[in-house]
Amino acid sequence: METTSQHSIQLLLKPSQHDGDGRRVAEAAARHLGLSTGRVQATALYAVRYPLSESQLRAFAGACLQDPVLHEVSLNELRHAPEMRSYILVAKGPGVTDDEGTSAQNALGDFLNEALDTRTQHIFSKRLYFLENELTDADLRRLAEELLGNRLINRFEVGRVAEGIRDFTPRPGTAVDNTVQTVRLEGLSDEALLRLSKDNLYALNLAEMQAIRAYYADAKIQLHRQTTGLPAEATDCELEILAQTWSEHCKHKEFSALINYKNLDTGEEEQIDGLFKTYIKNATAEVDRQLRENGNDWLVKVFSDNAGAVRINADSLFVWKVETHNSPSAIDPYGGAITGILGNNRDPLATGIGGARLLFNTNVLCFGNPESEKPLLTGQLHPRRIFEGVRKGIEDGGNKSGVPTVNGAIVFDDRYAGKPLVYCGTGAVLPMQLAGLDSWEKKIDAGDRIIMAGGRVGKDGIHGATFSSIELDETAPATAVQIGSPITQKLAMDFLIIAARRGLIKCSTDNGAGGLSSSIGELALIPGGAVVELEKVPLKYAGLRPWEIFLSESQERFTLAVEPNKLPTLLALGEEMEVELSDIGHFTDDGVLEVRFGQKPVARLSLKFLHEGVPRKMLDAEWQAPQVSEPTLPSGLDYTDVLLRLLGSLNICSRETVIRQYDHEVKGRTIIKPLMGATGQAPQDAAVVRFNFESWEGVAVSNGILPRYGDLDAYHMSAGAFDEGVRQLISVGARLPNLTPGDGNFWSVNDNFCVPDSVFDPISNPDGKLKLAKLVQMCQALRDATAAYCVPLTSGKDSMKNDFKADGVKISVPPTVLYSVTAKIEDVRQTITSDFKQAGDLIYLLGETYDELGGSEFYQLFGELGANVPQVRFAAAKELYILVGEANEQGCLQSSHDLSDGGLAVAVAESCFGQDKLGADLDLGGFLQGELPLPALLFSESHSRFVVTVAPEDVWAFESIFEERATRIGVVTDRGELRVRHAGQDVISVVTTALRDAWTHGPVNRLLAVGSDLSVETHRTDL
Amino acid sequence: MEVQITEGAARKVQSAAQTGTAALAPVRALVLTGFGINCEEEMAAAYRLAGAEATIVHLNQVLHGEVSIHDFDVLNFPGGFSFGDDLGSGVVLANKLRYRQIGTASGERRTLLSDIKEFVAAGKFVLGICNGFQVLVKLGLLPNLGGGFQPEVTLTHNASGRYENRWVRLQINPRAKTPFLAGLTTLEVPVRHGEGRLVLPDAATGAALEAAGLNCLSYVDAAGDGTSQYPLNPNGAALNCAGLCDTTGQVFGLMPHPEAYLASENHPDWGRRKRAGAVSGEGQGLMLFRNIVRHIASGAPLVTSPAGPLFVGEGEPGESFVREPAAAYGASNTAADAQLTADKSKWHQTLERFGQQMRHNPTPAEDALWQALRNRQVAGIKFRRQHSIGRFIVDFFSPDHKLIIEVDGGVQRETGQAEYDEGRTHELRELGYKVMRFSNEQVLRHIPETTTEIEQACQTQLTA
Repeated sequence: METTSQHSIQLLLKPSQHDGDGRRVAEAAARHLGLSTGRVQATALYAVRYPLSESQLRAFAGACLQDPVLHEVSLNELRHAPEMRSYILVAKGPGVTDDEGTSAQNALGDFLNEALDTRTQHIFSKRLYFLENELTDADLRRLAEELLGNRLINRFEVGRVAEGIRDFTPRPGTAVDNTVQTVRLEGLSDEALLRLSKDNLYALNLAEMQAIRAYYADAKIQLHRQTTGLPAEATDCELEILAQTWSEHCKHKEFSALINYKNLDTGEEEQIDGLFKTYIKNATAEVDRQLRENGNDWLVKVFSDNAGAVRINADSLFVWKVETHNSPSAIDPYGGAITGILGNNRDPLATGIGGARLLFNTNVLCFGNPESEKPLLTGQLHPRRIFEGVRKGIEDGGNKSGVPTVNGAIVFDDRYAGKPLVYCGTGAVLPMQLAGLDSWEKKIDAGDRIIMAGGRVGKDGIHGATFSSIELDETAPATAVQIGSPITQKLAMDFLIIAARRGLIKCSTDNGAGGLSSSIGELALIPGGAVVELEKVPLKYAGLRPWEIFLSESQERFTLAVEPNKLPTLLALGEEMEVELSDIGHFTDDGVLEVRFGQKPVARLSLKFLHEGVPRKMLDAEWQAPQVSEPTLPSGLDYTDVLLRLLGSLNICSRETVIRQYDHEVKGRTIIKPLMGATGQAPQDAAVVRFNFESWEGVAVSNGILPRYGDLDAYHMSAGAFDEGVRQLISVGARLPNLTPGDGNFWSVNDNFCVPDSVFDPISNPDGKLKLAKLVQMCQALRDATAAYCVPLTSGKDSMKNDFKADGVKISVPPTVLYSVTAKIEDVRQTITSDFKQAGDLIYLLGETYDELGGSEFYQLFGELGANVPQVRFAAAKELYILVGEANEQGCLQSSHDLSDGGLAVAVAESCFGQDKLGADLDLGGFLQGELPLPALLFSESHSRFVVTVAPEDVWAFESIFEERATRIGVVTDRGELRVRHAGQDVISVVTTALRDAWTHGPVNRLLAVGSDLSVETHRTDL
Repeated sequence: MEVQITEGAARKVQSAAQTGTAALAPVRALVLTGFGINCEEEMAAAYRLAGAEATIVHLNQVLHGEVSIHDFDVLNFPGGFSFGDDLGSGVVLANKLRYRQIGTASGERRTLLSDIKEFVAAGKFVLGICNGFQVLVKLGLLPNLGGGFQPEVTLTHNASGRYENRWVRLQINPRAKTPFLAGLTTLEVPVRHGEGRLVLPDAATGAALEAAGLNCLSYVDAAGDGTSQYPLNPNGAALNCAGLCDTTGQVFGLMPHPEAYLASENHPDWGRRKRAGAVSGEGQGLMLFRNIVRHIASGAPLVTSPAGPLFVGEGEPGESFVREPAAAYGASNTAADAQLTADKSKWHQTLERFGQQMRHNPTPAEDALWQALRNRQVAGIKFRRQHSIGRFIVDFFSPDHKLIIEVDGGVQRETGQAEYDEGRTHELRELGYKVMRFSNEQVLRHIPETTTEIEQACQTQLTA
């Protein structure tokens, strides 16, 4: 039992109330684990460690925790319904974020009208479930770990009620621990150096370890260390700082490496002077040159700072960033995703001076098949669990921050079953000027104070940066997991917005991967040094060593640079807005990063060595085209049936259940939402959001991602993904940039590469050279695409080790690249949605169709890959996109839907989903003089195409714009039926509601139980 | 010509209003934020679009006594996740308002709840949306059947167990007596919540709510009937109830988000409606805010200036709202004054001012038609509204076409009014104007047809 200074408060639903949580646990246990629990009773439990009297406790519970309509309260006694036999207690592990407990502390402070210490944990929230059936410990534990929590975060107690209920309340450390250890590098063998790196999770290779050893062996450095009181040997903190700064996550070593590229098919060889420099930075510099030549100077900031920035108008900048949070999401899907989205929010927030207002979130998720029945490897979570956890994390991260999640995609492929990909993007608006200064600039001078703002520091998230730079295995460290607290971040965000506008901060940055080590280490480059006093960093609980404080990735923190004379005003604002601010040091210009704990020196590193000392990698890439061929499909296909199956397939079916759990219209500015139409079920190509309520200017955002094509050709996969992102924006009404001088029509792309380990190793990674060759080709396609459309990259990220290894098996993601594209919309009211609007409107196909079924969803139905991968013909595509822009300018288009997964047939079907009674009559008879086989006409996924509708009165204007580029294929009807004729025969004939049913009742909505547990009878029993 | 004279006079009155010489204050809306509230910007925008002044302040500014709610006409609790909703939606914020004591200048200790009670007792208004509604319910401000400001009902997890964002159709209880809903019958708005299911402690509470008409909004199906069917009723609320008001009608709260439907283009089906020519430019949600602003303006006493707000005055989108000129509100007795005057010029001036006031107090039908006519949307024809011609104020007027459009509301249908209207129409026609009359119903239900008719009338005039 716990000590007597602790109280417990249990909330139980009154017997008349609907126990939704309990019921869902019972259903999920039966459905996913095959366990029969009988009735499940869910109760909430609070352990209170404030010294309260019994009557205070009772009053607090009654006034603040209990809902008098719903709950009964039990104090210092655990109650349950009499028939209950088993129990599961779900508590949080020591040091894990407990927002619910903190909220209860706030409530108690208000109730007592006392200034309680609410920054450290005194109230702990838990859930206590009772089960009607008597289950074994093993089954209870399984239920707990699979459905109710995560063993990396939670502590579970399970058992039979009759044997007494074991409680657990975390007790984090209480003793201060300022130990600084030194590590001997001198004289270590290569093996010993590598072992040191692996044992401490430094994730550094031999050359890097040797470079560090050489630094400490340098006589000048030794002399300097002696005079400044540092030990001769490296401190633990120094090695941790170096490992974090040099991590793949932070330094992008492989994107900077020298690559020897060989094409085995042609025998050509070339040396690539860094992927980033060659294909990304140089390509964008060329785009910028073309833009400026044409009087378009809206590209304000690229590839520096936390996010890139483009100018919207004379008053404001659009700032935007997309990142990944894959490794954490693999081991703790909820925590990984919520910290992913909150962390990504902090990037645009803390760009330049800081204080941008967040406009939208977007997410792209790649998972294994959620209905997979394959046995799991040690430490691997089921794809369904990862899916549900990540989805919930994005829901809470976005909704609770008040940022609409306006657009996204979910891609399924079994190769994501080891490590899922979780891409989080955030767009924001920053005023051009903040308190008279250029908002996008980061300026710091020696003497400026270093202020930490927001949450406190705990052991959570230590080693995140290095951990994400290695492949995952079954020994993943528990401390790499963090839990986000959206409410803490919302307060810090509100504060930052005001502080920046009042000119109280010089600049800000986010504390993400690498914590203070990374944020201060990078900011220190601006003035040329920093001194950090770690004893001033507020902790969630005592017991962290200095290096842990410096490296911890505890969330919701910003690092601010503040002029000393503005500090008092800033601190007062922090107090007013209840955001904790700590003065933890100052910037210098002596070229050194110095870390102290009280009088004790903890680390002292030359900034030059820290940021430029990492040895450059040299990598080998070898390309050989795969041996592939076109399949022979069964004859006599029923195309109506094929279409229904495609609509119900995992990668095409409706994501409505997911979409509706994200708030996509908070802020009231979302004009094109993910699902539109009278039915609210017509999927859209891109989201459109207006910037404010005074003008109709806005931004369109879309995502292009096509990993499947990479199995055939990585270049065309990457080019196609880029084109997909661009054409989706064209479809909703964006115009390509730089068409006229000084048009101010900004575009901004984020590239995000997620690839498997691509560094060759004869034993652990024998196909590493081929993987790297694919990455090279993806980058080449990116260069070509940005040049073709004159669309700049403004930020990006690469995640290089997306492999999961356990039990001797390795699961690697397919090489994947996501292009997240945004473009300015001059007037959001002129944008176009995908759904058909009115019977009688004529349907046209824009763009050329080719026999390109390779990698298509159609082939996927038959378990085939094919060979003819869709290719982007950039010049033709660009011409077409310009014409679409002209047609929109003249208001000629009533609907527009881009063709992607499932080709023409799926796009037309989806266009019918906006309204029950609308349908379409199509005749593909005269189409290309019958050159293409029917399956290619219907299902080819050739790029750069749209299905559009045109009002009869606009036909003349429309056809004179497009001429032969538009093919009239049919008409919108009010018969609620899709009919497709070809060569004089009906090849598809089906009512559109049946198509929509197949789509909405696909595996995703089924899995997330749309329609089940939604009966409303239960809550009526109390009346 | 007469028309030119009145135009000159109109300019004079307007400039007087702009320079603030008219002793009429705009409606002042206080919008709270902080601690996880996140719909404050669109809430403020709604009030501004409705012609009020909206001030966003951090809750602590109120709690620390820097801003007094009494300087405002309507107090607003926007949506969001106050304190993360960790202990149940709205609970921690409600708890803070009920228990946290504010130090006042006089050294007196009081809670914000006691301030709000006084605020309501002074005849002022409180609105809570979504999380704000949950706060009002947990605080006992709604429905407050017993008058004791104790929680009487609750809002809890949706029957689906899920947070959901979807559009719903609402029916306004015809017996609802809150001015927020005056003149409205149905409303399409989005819901975005996980805890919106109204739960009643007993059948008697439900009966009492219904008897008093406090269940002022309900989820309905396509036929307009209250429904418990998911997803039409997205949360499984008792009484299919989406919103409550108190017995005074001054306190009103709802789960759906009218402030998220300020523009036609917020609606998921706006594309098709635009194709059908059925968008007015303005979202239905704005009507609630127009309603309360109009109500307060029509009878509000002068209010004093509030303390300096924390969040105003920036050159960033989302900050500087275009405001309607703070013109002649609340001249509730001008018409009566005018009838008693013998001075012709004063009569004319008064008439102008009355026109000004009417411009800010259109009926829903007039408003709908104005939204369709303004900015030369119909065949490029310029229309003025509430225009003075001679001794009459006409609803809409096209100087180019000498066309007058009148929208007949309930008033016109009263005995005597029809006769008056007929006479007035005759007089105006005598002056060479063409007069078209439409009923409220026709305007509200058939905007496209109405504008087509107007367009045709103009064309006939030109060809004639």
